[in-house]
Amino acid sequence: MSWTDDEIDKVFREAAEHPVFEYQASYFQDIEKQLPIKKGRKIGWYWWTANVFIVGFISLVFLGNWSAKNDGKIATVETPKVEKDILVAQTTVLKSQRTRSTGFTTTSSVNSIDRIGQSTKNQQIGKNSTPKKEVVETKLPSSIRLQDVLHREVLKTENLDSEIETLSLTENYASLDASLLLLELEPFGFENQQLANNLYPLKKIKNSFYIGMNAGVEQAWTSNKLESSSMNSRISFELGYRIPMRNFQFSAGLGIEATKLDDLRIKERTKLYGFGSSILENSYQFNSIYSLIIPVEISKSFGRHSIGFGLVGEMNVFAHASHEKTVDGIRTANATGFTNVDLFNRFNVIPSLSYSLALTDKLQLGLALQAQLIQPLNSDRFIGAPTKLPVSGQMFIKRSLKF
Amino acid sequence: MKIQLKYLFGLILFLMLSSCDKDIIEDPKPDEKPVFKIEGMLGSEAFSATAGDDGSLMSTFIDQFHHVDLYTGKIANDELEFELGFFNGNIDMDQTSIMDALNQGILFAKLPQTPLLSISKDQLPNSSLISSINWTIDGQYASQNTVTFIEPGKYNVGADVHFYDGTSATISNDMIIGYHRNVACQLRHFLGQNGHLQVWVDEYTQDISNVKWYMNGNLVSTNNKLDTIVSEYGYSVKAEINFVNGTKRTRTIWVDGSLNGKFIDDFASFESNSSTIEWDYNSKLTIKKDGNTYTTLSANNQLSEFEVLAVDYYSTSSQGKPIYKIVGNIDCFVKNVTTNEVLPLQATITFAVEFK
Repeated sequence: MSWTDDEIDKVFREAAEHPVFEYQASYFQDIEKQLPIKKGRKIGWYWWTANVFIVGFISLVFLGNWSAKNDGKIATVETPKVEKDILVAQTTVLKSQRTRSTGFTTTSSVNSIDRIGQSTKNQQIGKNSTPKKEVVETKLPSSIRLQDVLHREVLKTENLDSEIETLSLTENYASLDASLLLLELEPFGFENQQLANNLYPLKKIKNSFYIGMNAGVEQAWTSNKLESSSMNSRISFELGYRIPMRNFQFSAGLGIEATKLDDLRIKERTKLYGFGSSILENSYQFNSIYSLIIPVEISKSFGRHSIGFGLVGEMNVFAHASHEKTVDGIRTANATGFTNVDLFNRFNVIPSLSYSLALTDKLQLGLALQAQLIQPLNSDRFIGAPTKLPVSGQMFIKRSLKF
Repeated sequence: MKIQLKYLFGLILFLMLSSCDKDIIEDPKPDEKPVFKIEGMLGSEAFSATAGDDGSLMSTFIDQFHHVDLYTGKIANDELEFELGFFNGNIDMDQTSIMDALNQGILFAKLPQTPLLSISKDQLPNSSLISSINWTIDGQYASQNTVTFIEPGKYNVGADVHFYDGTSATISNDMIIGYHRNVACQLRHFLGQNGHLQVWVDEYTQDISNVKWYMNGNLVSTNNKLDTIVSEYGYSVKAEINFVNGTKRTRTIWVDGSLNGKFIDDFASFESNSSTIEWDYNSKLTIKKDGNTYTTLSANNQLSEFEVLAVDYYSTSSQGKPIYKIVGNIDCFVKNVTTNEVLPLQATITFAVEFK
């Protein structure tokens, strides 16, 4: 027995005029039981991951266990089989709900994961007892779009080759978002969230210029046991170019960095002999040092989140210092001004590990950890012991530019 | 475009700042080596002092010993005081050069055991008219009729001459005793019946360059011979004599115009009768150690040595005088001024002395 056009029109007309939607709490409860991640834990997943990562990195550096191992693995996100099954289950449930809502007869229900993949031969549409194809358990790539999943699964499950089925699915897509909202299922979990992000992807600008500002603190370049530890503060501005590649994003720039030095001093006493002796004391207080930087970074995005590894080439250009000279305690000279950086290493290489969050499609806010690979001080004239691999933590903001 | 200009401007500003003169970091200076120090043995005890260490200070000054400059340096702290001085020489000349003398070797000055010179009233040619003379030295009363000089020096000797007629007159002359005199001379005078007074320099051993004549303090002539008319009152006649060899002496006589034979002759000419002892550029060493004071002045150092190894200009004093650094070896005797104990002293010195 086949459906005539009139009959089909009648069915749709009745369904449109008298929509039957009986929501039962058990629907959601059934689904919720199958969800592996609770709602409260889904929100800060990336933040917590980033924090754990940063704290772990700091701990490694401070414990001296830092090793520059890089096994070359590329981070991959594998979708667990269970979660994929859940996804299929969700899809099936939704399909079932839609079927009910449109008046289609549904004789089977999905009550457990175990039933996923079983034959659905007993499922019928209306009076038609056309056997359905078995649901094939499929490895789903995590980046697949939800619509594709739904579409593919429905096709696999029902094997509807008629226009009616196509029509019913098209009609039911419209109610999908409503169903999700109604069920409060918007954050599905990691994969669902990712998929949702992919449903509404950020607008990515390709091959764009950017400006950035970094600000943060850094371990002081010298340490003195007699005094409390101090921190330098850093700020830099950079202009760069960003090139998105397949799964990564490469950026390189040029910037200016100012480091406010805290308690970096030279105090030299010289005994001058003559008819007696005088103590000549030369004191230098370095206030800041200015550098040119070339930041290079490669990052990988996970939706709005990005983790990047970079190298910053640094060239110290000049410093600002105060100079006071006294002879037997009597000040004979007092000057403040710019000076050369002969007492510092001219060049430096700074590896950087960063985490960032895209606030908008142009604005990026993030945290970065850096460590100077080369001892910044090039002289033993400074007070205190030089700090090895001074670590800095910075917050940065980057904005894409359109000229 | 505006943004690009901002960045360009910022880059230019950065480059300008980085190209500024920035050389204010001085290279570190190591501690200097001590400049002045002494070390040696006094008797069997070692001593040393370094100016700038242990509270020791080097000081220089020009002392005076009977109006003769004593160019002195001293290293001293609370425990040790080492003072070394050099007497001036050629003190009858304006310009002297101690540097030549230092390079020729230094002798130690020794106080004479006997008086260098005595001048009595009776030595004056008109002593029969003089009842007494009150001698003063450097303005201080010294003795009557006879004055004795024991230590070398340049003395301003005053003679307050009292004549038998109850009148008196006073003149003073500089006398150089115990030092080398580059010229000997004597003022002589003749007073005629009509008050015609002639005064001239006699018995001089060097050619005279010029003479300035003063009567009662007033310049009256620049001729080599004073020729004038005086009245019956007394006159102080002073001659400033410049000799060709650079020596400069001043002599004063007193002449009474009353023709009674009252005059005070040039008693300074008696200095040529003094001992042959000359302290020109001799040295004087004094060391105070452990509460005792030792000096070379009273010890016999005829065979002692003061070897000057180097004399170099070092700096200028606050008074504008040149200060020289003297490196030398000393091997001499010193006498305890209290106990008269004589001890040998050997020392190596790097010393500062201030000269004129």
